[in-house]
Amino acid sequence: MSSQYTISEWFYKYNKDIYHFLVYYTGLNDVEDLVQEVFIRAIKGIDVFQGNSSPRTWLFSIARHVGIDEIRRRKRRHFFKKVTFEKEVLISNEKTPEQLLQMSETNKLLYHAIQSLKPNYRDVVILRSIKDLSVSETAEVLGWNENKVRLIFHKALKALDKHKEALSQ
Amino acid sequence: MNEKGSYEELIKEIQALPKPNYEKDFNNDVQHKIHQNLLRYQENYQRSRWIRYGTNKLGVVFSSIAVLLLIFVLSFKMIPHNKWTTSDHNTLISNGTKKPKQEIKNELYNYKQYLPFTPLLPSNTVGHKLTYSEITRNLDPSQGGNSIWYTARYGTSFGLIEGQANQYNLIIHSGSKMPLTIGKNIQATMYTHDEGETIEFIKNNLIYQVTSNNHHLSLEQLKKVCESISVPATQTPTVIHLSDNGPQSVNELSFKPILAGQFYVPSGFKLDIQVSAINIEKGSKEENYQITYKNARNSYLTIIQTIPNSNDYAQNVNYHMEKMNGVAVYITKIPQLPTVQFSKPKTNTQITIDTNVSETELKKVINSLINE
Repeated sequence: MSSQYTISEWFYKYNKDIYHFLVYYTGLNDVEDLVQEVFIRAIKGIDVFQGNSSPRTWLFSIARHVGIDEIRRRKRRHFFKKVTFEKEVLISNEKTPEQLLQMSETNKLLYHAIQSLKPNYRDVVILRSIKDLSVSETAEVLGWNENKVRLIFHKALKALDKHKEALSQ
Repeated sequence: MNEKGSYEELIKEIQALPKPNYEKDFNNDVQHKIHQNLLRYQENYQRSRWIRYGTNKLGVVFSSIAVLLLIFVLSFKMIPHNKWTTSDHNTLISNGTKKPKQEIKNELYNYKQYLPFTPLLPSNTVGHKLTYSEITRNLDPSQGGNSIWYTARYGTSFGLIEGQANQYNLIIHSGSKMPLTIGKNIQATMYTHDEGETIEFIKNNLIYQVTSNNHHLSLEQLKKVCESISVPATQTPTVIHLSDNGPQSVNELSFKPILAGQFYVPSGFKLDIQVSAINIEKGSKEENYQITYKNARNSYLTIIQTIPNSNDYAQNVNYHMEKMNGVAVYITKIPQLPTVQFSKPKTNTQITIDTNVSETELKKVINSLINE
């Protein structure tokens, strides 16, 4: 299979999966460019792709890195705007992720609780529960062992329950 | 320990969170546009590689001619004619920096050494010709997970993949499944997915997946193709991809790369990946050795050493040049490309660095690689 054929095949197979993941992972609504970036990185890395992991988990691990980079980039930009007193430009017609996902009030609460989790808790909750990855697939994406996935997932759920309760009060 | 504990309800709530409305926000047009961008990007990316191959080929041809002429002239002037034996010739070759092109051809000819099975092709190809074939071999003894498979494509009509049945990289994850029988009694599964249909079956401990691209073949035709898979492949594959993961992976390479631990790495980073990759395509061979370090904060440092050296980054407008320790180092202007590229003095290995470490740390890494 040529790498061009492979990337096209993977793109059409997994683009929605990656889009869905990135919306929740980054908490951003405009993730089309990030989806593209995921596959650009896949093109660059396909020669060293470890065929013994599935393309789906490999793409998720790339998407996670793309998401982390984007969050950092936005944070830096936000900080730069603050220190230079540059006016924040709000694009009023842009949808928030909650609007994009057409969430009910209960869902919004849960969504915000997930977003407020610390990064490794958020990682495992999104991969295990939202993307429905198995323990071993999650371990592959995060580069953890399976026991760590189980342990952190349990802790994350506990923290999420607390966050949710705090937000509802 | 039950990872879910007493949070079953909470998990159900999370799982019930809505999915994006793809039709509205990530519809076919958006997907198509991204796909077109990717194809363009990939074409440019591959073109730059082809230029690398082409330049290298010409370079090998010219340098081989020059070396042969030099040997010829010197041998007549300095070496008595009867001393120019085969063993002397071999010594001259083995002391050279470039392997003769013929050796690459021999490796291609012996491609079966990379496969633990004989790939079989269909005798009934519904009038389509074999246009592309590929061997992919990934060795990963650390996880006991070697994966080796053979791919054949018949234009854009259909293709087949065959490999050892226990390879989980060949598991099909998407599409609806339906059992069916092919031939007299071979149990198979048909997957229907967005790109077409795939029939999968196991024969002699090998898994076969035959895919009709964009529903190009009817189910009957696809079944007939599957039933006729019995002809050993004799054609040299168009492409051979070999990768080897772990510390032993350097043994695959024909050059001596800088190893993990032989260059500066910022503190807190741990070795994550050591992998060699060899690509052989139409008589050209490219070898890569990748080392990746990561830290707990998701920073990464990837060093890729490549032969032959393309030098194509020197003309790439997306890079600017900076001299470091007397070496021209090319630094990217856009985040989509590897951070730094340069040619290592003495060995002429192409060094590519992709990282998100600070500029100060990056310069230390570059200097240590140059000085190694």
